[in-house]
Amino acid sequence: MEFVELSKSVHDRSSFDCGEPELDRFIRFYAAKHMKAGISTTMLLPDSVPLPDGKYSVRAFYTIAPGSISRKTLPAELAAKLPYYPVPVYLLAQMAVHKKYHNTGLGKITLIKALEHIWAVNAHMRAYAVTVYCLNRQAEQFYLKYGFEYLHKHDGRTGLFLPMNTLAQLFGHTGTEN
Amino acid sequence: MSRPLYTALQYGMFPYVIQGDEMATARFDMRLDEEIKAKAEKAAALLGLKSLTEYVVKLMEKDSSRVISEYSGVVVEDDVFDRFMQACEQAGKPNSALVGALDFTREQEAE
Repeated sequence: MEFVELSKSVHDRSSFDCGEPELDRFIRFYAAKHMKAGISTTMLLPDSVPLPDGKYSVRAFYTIAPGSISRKTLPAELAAKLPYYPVPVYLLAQMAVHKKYHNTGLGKITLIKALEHIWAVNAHMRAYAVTVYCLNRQAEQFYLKYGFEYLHKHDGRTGLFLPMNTLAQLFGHTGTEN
Repeated sequence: MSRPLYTALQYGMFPYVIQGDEMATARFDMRLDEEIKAKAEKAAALLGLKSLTEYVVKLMEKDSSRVISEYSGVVVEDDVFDRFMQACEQAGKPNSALVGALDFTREQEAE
């Protein structure tokens, strides 16, 4: 159960099918390019058995990227109170599970691995929250269930966020159990 | 005022650091359609630029900044921003579903 960094030469991206064309297209055509350009990092859970060509198919993946939130207007007295501006956040840019593994709990595992990854990065580069822009109603329900809060509508998508302080409590208290 | 283009220290650490108008350069070769090239040269001349290269560099700089900021930065209404900042400061405990998901993940990892 180990998520690894996407590698074009090791992972077969063409067989990925989560039922949502936009996410399939992302892992097939964009994830590696974005990683090379330093825009985002994609981590995935490969299948345990390789395909005949020696590559591994993808069970699930997540993509994270640094992002920011700005206020439409920023009065000087408010600006003075903000140590970092625009306010840094981490973007859970993409997340998907292959159809074969739907309803197995892999979705929540992938979410936890993504949050854990962000939490680790946050030790070096502090941010205020994790944000996610939901592709559809189903995705929105998924994140709301785990405590994400409503932020705003952006480009027709619902933006949600989870404060970093909540992650601190999640991983701070239970992260060292095992 | 003349300064060396970069010192050994800068070169080792930040090869593309911009200092004043001095910038270390990287090469980028490209192929393009004759017609597009002719048109772009005309546009560069109209803008008073010295070369096609200067035009391309200007465009790349402008457009890549736009693409990167559109991808990762959002501007929100004042009230949305204020609610967001307040929520981050007063963040509550993770809910039971999230704690459950972490426990589930740890169990699977232990297997």
